[in-house]
Amino acid sequence: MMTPLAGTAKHDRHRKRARRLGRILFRSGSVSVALNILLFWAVVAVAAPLLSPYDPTTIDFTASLDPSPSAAHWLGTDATGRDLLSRIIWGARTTFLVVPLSVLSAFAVGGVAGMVSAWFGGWTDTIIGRAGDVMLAFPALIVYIILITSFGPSMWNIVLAVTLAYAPGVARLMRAQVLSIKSLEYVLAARAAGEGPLYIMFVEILPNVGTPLIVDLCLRTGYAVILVGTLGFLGLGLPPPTPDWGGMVVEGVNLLTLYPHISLFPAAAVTSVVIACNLLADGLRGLRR
Amino acid sequence: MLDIAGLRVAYDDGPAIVRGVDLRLRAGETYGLVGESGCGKSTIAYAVERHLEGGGRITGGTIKVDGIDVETLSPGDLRRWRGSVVSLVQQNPTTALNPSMRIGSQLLEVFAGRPGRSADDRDAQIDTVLRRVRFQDPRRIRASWPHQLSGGQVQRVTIAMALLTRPKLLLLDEPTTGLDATIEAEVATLVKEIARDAGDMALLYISHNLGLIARVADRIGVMYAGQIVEEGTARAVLKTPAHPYTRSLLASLPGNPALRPGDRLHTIPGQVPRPEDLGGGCAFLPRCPSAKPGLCDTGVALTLCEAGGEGHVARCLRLGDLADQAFAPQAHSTPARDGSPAIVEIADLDRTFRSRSRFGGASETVVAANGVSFTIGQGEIVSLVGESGSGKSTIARILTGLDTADSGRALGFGVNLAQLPAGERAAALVSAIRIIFQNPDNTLNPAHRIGRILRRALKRGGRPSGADAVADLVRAVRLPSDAASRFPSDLSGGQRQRVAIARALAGRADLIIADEPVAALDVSVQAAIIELLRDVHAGQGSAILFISHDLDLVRHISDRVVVLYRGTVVEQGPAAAVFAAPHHPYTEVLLAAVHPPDPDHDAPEMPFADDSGAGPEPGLCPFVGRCHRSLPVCRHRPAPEQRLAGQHMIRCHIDFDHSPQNTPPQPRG
Repeated sequence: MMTPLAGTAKHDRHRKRARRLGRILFRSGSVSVALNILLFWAVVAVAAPLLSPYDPTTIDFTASLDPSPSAAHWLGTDATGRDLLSRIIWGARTTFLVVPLSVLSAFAVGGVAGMVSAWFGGWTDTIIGRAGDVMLAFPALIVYIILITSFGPSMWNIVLAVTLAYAPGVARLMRAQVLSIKSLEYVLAARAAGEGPLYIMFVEILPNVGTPLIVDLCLRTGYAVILVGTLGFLGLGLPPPTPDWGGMVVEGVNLLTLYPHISLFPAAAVTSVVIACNLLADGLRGLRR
Repeated sequence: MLDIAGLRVAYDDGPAIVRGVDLRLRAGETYGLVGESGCGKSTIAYAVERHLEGGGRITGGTIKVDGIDVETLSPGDLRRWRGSVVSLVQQNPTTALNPSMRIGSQLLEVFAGRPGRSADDRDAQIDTVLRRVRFQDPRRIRASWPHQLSGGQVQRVTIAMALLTRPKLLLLDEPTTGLDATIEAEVATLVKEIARDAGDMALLYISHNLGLIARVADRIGVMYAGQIVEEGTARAVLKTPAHPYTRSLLASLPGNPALRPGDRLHTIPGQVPRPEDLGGGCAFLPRCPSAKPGLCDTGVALTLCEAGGEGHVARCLRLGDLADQAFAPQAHSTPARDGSPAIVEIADLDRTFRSRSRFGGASETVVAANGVSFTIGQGEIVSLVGESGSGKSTIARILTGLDTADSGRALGFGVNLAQLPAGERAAALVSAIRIIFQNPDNTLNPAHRIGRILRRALKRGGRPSGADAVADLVRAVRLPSDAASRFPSDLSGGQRQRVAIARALAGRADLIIADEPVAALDVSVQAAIIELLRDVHAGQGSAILFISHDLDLVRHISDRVVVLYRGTVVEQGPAAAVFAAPHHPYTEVLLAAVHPPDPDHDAPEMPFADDSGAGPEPGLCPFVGRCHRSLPVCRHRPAPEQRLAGQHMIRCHIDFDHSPQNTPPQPRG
């Protein structure tokens, strides 16, 4: 009876899956574009002090007279004469810190809420579900304005705002995934083996919720870049003079007809990250078992 | 009628699934294609219907139906051709019909795009065909919605649909898989009738079930790993099998007449190879008891060679030397257990499920257990049998604490298990009762390695959980030694069930609940899993509650048998007594559905079960609506428990002492 396993190493289905992931990540054109864009911005964010030609908050008064791109300021300056390139470079740092933190926080809160909701069902499910409905029904921007005007602009308030905005959606997706898994036999086996709810939720179910949540994570990361930008645009972003792409767009709005580059360059930076996230989400959608 | 020559089919850029199949069907003939999952039998049906598009490709050979090469048909011709020349009945009846259309409209749709025929003509044709599949009242069926019909009725409707256009070739692809044995028997009876009446229509019946094939087929082709390994008349293939695979398969069936009660089942080592693992030699070589190194593993042509008269051929190079290959049954070492002390005593267990209705409609109730009482003795194998919906699994879930009973007791291990959910059970109790599930695909967490799964089971059982202990378990269930580092997806279905058994071993379970443990496995690995379970039972003295619909298997391994119908125990007693007359009429129906792989077997025919509606009033015998022996009193008074000799109980009004059943079914011939 000691037959060798059907799957010799070369037919290992897990390896096949890994190979498929590899094919998606490295051979699919759109995904490589996405990864390259994200990698580019990540490097820029990390190496900001080395890459930026100027301090992002230093004002060059001569340049403020004509903020157009020049040999001294490749992307020009903003209306107050701060180097746009340096501000975009440092802004990447802000974006790549605030956005992942916010999205992960939203996924932690929403994921746990969805999982608990699906696992326990009944009243727990109803309460969590209704709470999520209320949060989704409330105009999100008003929540941010209330939140940030009452607590003042800070990075943690942005994280809180994004979490409030995204957690209900994440919770719904997670709930649907867990509901379909919780009646599978391996979960029943764990229950019959006397495992507690925490063990079952985090050890048995969580690793199997799978691709839809990863795809959603990528999409939401893209939207979060826009949301953080919007908050900056509304003046609810990080307190000035911290460079922040959304805030930079708004600073150029008044001069849009004269010097469109002040708004356009930071807007292009936001767009590139959002597109990269969407492309990545699209590509990962092919990663089904 | 159908002429397939040298057919090869592959999916995407993968290896060939069908590897050179020749198959010829004459008009009026029923051909049974038998094989295990993944051997390519359904692929052949799809190739014939030109349904492969989107993945599959014919990489060689030709398919001719009625002289027309299937591959040359244009899309327009193909539409007309499907249905009028070839009809296909697919596996899953529940998704074959549109749930939002009445049966009548769906049958009418078949005529769409086909010229001729007045409306009256069509109506008459539909009624005829519905009567043909034995619906007494075609008008009522035409007015029904699919959800109002039972699984068997739905499959009869799909067969009617396939017959409506009078095809020349009818393909039936596992038409009864997943349905109860009693319904399988109905469909088989029907197919046989249709074949007999249809004159020159040819039928290709695909199944993994040898008994079913024996019932319907004139000729049989046995497939293994993409090739036909044996072909001949049904009688020749089943009575004088030539190929080692066919021989082993027939020998491994629990209904094998050579077996005495308690004997070991003949097991076939290993498992069906994956297409990508196939080399040039004989595909069955690694599992073959008569393989000869140097002869069978060479890439030399494996050709069909004469093995006996009537066009009986087999794909084996050693046919001449196999004549005396016999499978001598071995006795199992399990001592007979009789009157051992009870480990679990179940009494008056009730469980009813109510579906809440959202929009104020009537709520439906399903009785899953109604006054169920039986005991499981220490070290006994007790089998629960019954059709789906009889409440077998509910009892298993209550005993394991996944569900609780509405009322009643299940006394065992010093507590009332019926009211104690798993989460509230002490660790020792939890590891004393372990469950093995049916579906090997879901029984193990796909994200965890086998080693981790077993370590956790050992830990929960309060035993050392080091690498040695895991390796011991892996060895005990005869898995390859590297299994612990593998993920479940790397294992075959049979191997995963071995892990599930190892999990039960890890806790030194006193009671193993096996809920259809082999129903989803390939026929050739079923016997090995059953024998492993019996070894655990013998070695560890565990009692087993064995839930199954395979009566041959139940008869072979059980000490005692409990027959359930809609949550009520209608008959129970020692296996020998239950399988011998007299029977409860329901047991009789179940036994009549068992068909050995023997074309000469004369199955007693039972009336078709047409009541899909609610059961009778509470308290009365739940079987009364389907019973072929019902008495007037059955509709007025609850059936009494009759105690017959030797702890044999039948819940029925029939007076077995004075009016013995006139024709007790004898499925063993």
